Amino acid sequence: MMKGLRSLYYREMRIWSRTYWMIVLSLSTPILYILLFGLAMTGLIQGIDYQGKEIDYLLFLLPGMIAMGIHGCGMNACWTLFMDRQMGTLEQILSSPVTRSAYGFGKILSVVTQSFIQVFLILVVGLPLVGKEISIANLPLLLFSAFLGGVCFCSFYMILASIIKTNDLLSTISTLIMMPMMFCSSMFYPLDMIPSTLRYLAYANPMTYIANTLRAGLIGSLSKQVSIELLVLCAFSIALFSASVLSLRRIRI
Amino acid sequence: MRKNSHRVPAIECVNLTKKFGDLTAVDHISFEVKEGEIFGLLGPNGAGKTTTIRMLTTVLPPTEGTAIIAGHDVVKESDRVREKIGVILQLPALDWFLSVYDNFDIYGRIQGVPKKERKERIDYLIKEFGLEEKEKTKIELLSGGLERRVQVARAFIPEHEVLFLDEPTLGLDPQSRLKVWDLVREHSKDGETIVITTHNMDEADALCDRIGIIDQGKIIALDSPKALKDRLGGGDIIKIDVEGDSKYIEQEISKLDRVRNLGGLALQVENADQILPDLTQFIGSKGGKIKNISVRKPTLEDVFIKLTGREIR
Repeated sequence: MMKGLRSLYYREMRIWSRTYWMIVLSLSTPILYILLFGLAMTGLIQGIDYQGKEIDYLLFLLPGMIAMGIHGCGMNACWTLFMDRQMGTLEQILSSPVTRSAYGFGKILSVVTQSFIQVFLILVVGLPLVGKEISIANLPLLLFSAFLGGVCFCSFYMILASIIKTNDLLSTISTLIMMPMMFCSSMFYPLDMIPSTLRYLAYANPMTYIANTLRAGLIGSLSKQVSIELLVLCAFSIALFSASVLSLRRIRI
Repeated sequence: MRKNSHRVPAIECVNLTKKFGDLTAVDHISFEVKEGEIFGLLGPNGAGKTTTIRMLTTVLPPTEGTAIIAGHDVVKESDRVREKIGVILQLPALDWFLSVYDNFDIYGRIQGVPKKERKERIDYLIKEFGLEEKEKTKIELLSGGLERRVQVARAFIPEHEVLFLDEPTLGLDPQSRLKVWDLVREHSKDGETIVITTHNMDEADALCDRIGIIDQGKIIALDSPKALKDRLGGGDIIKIDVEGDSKYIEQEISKLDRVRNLGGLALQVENADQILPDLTQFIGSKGGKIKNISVRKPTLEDVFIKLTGREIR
């Protein structure tokens, strides 16, 4: 079933590493958010109650921005799939001995790898900004959450790109989706600060669970609530992943 | 090498059909290709050549009918089929930001060619196609012709049982075109079956053992190039261009005994030298002004015109 996964993963990573300026660019948005939006908001928000402790807004924002970085990595899959289809590379791959699932898996693994790199880079730049240190003990939860986030976003955007064939429609739709995905979630603020309608929407948004579990990994602990959120995130990942495998099986060139 | 002892056909299509909504792109075509044969699908753009290739390479499921490649059904055993085939597409299908060498290498990996063999084949092909100096250049910096050369050359890294080439020499310089023809012949000698689509008559004539002429989704003739041309009955073809509307002249000429109009004033005659003076005089007497006359042996183009009443492009 996974024939050719290694070759396809190699291809994805090779293409990604050849466009190294992309890594820098995709890192700059979350960092700019911390610098511009974060610092501006610190004036408005004195401190935020998190798991019973009062923390700085910047510190609250940092895991949200890691989630944003992971989202960016997932979005890459949208465009590489689109380009593969446009250039004929997809047809070439689909007529070779590798399987369609391996093609999807290759993309997901590469997005997860990119997400891990993204997490480390944002931490390296972001931690001094918010004046925080972390220990090795933080990493398992952070990385597990980053892994699930990568699977979620990559699957989601592969579904989108396998349905939508034209450039302009794809970019319009993905921009449109990005707004609620970011703002109807706990990326920028705790959910009890927002109106209840938005809050319910946020509970249907995987971004909320990614941001919350990353936050627990970075500054909190694996409480009962976080464990449930982690389970919900697992469910999201499995559902989106299965849907993406189905849509790749049906994809037409 | 892989010559099969029990002579199963390499490709066997029965009533293969593809519909897109109301449009029937491929309409109940049936043909067989023997192992080691070079088979051509010849037809104008939009005739259904690429759709046929897509069904045979398992990328597109047929609406109706079956196709067996190297003993495996393209729908039920598509995984097995893909292990046996190679394809050169019309689209570039290259990785833009990667070097020429990387594109060769990744193709070889995806095709499952082991490392040592892969490297040897790549070095050989890069040299054969004169790409040594471009080895490290990114594809995005290559000219269209060079891109095409990379794409075609890399298809020869693995050995396939059946190789599909969709308009392989489109956009290639004459030298590379001959190179491709040589490689195709060489691989066919080794027992590889080759299917080529083309709208280039000369290519089909020079390369193919047998040709299926395809028009509007149907195969309208299937034979060796020689047999197809022999259907016209030999002799010479005189092609005449007249000024203005040729309809009237065509009508008048159709009344002549020794001349057969294949369509569009491509006239088949027994002996051009003998008839030409009379013919020009005749056209003049009917008020036709001749712009150009050419005399040649019958080609596949004439076969196509004869069959469809149209020129191929």
